[in-house]
Amino acid sequence: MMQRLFFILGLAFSVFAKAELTIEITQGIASSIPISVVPFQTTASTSSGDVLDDVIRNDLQRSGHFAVLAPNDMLSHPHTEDDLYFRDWRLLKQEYVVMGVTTELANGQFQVRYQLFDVFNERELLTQTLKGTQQQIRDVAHRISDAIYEQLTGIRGAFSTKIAYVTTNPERTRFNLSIADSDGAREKIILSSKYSIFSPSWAPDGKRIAYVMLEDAGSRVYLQDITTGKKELISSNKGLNSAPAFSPDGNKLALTLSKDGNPEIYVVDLTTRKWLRVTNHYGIDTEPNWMPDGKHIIFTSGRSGNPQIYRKNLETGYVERLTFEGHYNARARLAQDGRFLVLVHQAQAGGDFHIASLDLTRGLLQILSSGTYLDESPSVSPNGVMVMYAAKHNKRSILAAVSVDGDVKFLVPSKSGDVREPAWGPYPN
Amino acid sequence: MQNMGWNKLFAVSLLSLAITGCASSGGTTDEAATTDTAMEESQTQAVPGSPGVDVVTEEQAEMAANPLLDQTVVYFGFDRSEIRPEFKDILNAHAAYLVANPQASVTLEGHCDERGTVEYNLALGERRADTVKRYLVVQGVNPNQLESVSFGEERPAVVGSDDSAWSKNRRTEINYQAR
Amino acid sequence: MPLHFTDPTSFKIPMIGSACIIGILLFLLMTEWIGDEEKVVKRPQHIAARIVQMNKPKPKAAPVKSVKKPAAPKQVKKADKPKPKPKPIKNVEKAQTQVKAKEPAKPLPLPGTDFLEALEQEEAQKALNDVLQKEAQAKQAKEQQDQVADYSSQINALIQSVWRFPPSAKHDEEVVLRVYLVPTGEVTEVFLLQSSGNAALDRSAEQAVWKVAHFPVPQDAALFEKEFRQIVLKLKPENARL
Repeated sequence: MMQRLFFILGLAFSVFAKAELTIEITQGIASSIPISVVPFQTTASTSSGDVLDDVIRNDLQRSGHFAVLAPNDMLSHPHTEDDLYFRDWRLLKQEYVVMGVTTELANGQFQVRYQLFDVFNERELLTQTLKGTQQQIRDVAHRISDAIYEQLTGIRGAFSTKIAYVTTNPERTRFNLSIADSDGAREKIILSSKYSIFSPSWAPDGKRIAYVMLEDAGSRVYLQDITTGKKELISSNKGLNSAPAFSPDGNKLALTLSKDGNPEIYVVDLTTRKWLRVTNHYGIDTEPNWMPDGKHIIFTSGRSGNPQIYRKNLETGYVERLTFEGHYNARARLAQDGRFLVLVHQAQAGGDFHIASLDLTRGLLQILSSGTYLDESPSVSPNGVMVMYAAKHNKRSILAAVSVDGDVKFLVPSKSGDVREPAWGPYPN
Repeated sequence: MQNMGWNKLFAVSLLSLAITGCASSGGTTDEAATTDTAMEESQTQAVPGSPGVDVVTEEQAEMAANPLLDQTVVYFGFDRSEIRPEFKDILNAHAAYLVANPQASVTLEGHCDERGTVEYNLALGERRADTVKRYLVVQGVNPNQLESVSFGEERPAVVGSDDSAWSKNRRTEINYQAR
Repeated sequence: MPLHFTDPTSFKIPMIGSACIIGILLFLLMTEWIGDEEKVVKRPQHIAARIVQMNKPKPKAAPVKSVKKPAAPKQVKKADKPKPKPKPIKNVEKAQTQVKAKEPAKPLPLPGTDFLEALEQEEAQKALNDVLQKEAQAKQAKEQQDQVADYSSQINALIQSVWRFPPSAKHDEEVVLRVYLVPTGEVTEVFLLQSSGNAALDRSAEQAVWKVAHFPVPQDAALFEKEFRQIVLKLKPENARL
């Protein structure tokens, strides 16, 4: 009876379902998108010496998503659609071409119009006209990079963001907390001290930064207004005062304090100045970081013997362990909309320290960094794609970056001394 | 970093010379885990009664009498904070001194080598200072004479990225604030 | 989480009630059918057993006659002999009489045997031809299936070798395309049936198809029309890092 029913139903549906041959392809080649950014035609001379299209090319190349063609390898340098022969670009195996024209305006400003073309389908995908002062050439270039990046990958561009980091002289007698563009340009020192500065943490509005200063009496947590430079002492309890982390709404700071006996995680409400204790375990609990929902905190704990990553639900109090592979896992940060953790990982005792990513859904741990050693302090870009970290390279402390979804790595150029403790700033408002 | 160590040694040596002919050095940069024969030699020079030696303070006489008190650094294994048996004698000597001299006070500074993360090392450094503090208290020292502070990986004794440098940086320093 | 029984806006009670009613209905429907099936199955088994026993001599007679003509009469005689078990002799005798009664036309009249034998031969031939035809059809169908599988794997390999997915692709994203081909194998159109949600990945899949441009297809026109005129491709970058 049931069989008959199913048979009838099957017949009925088979009328609608076509018996189409379906082939499943499950492997491809992971590769960056070949793109050409043709040198823009400029009638304006730039006082800063910055070349707009240079900045765009560097942005796209550093993102890890694009393989940018060098201008010398281009067969032609078109500026308008009339000069654009798609066949030439197909020969060069390019998938997208960007052209632009910059002109000087009467008030000393400059104006740039750019176009993005799809080579395969031979059509224009994007065009914009932007204006700016001479000092804003880099800002305009980053905005163009953001637009191109988002158009072609569907991911919001992070080229207009800033990074904070600490530089020190080899003798370790002077420490500077600095902020620069995410490509390392336009560095500005916001704090200089004889004491070690570390663990900078950006407020979500990008206007304040919290950090730890290691004075003779011990570690202290400060909060500084970036524009005014005014700094406020947040925590100077007995014992440790460290590892500040801003909550997603910018109202709270998670911290590590040891005033009650051993390092534990606390949360202070910056408006009410009320303190809440989050962990209570005789093991070391530190390096808190908030999940985007503001209700979970991930942290490093030595409670199982070696440092591993844990997550606590602030409402239910439930604590779960997240890392099970490796001898030492610490300093976790979120990437890819919370699907991935990026952390410092040592596979076995005595082994190297590298930056690794942990896919929270599949439980897969992958080493991201190579070529550097003693990797630490990973910080993720706001679009969750790039990781900047501190490492040793040829005996110097440098900043390096690696993409979470690809193999692109690059070193952030530093002027002098040792660079450490990067913190990637939020999207500009 | 090496500059700092040598400067410290030079300064302390000058100071020591200024007080007596004693060449006892406070520098811990060269100190190894085992007793230093060079130190013992300098101790014999400081024994009271030797000709050509100026007035020696009581404390220093006491300290000179016990070479262990000149050893003010205790070392640890990687990622560990428990006291190793070879350091118990040193700690006992300091405990005895502190018990005998209630006016003396000490800051215990915990340090780590550069491996691992900055913050976890700050916490580990505190652990290393705290275990020494607890040990001394168990030996009878008044906790009020003891302060502990952590400097994590921020103030290495030896700059370098090899095992020998690292082993010298995983330490707790016993710094007398008052004798 | 306490249930608010007095809360008029709560949907919990009606939902639970509906679920129960539907559950009961389903249960009643299912159990009746199962009961029906059981009842239907039991009786024929019971009856079938007896019929088989009684008809044993009948099937032996018919096929033997169709295959071997001279052997037929001998076998009939053998059936008369008490070769079958001594117990059911009475039954056999009864069966024989019944058989004879049921088949008056076939064994008895001697002059009609050739005609009837011919008839049976024809029927037998037809049956044989049917079987042979079915076998041939099955064989052809299998060959076609093999061909389809063969060309499918060739197409798969070609696409794999040129498909470059963007670094932002996730291992569980899937693009579904419909590709239109002409008998030479050329691609004439590509339609995005289902987006993966990742525009860059969708584009990379379409571009892979256009890069291949010429798909291997069977020469057999009928098979091409049936299977390869339009095909569906599902592309999923399982080897992606994310």
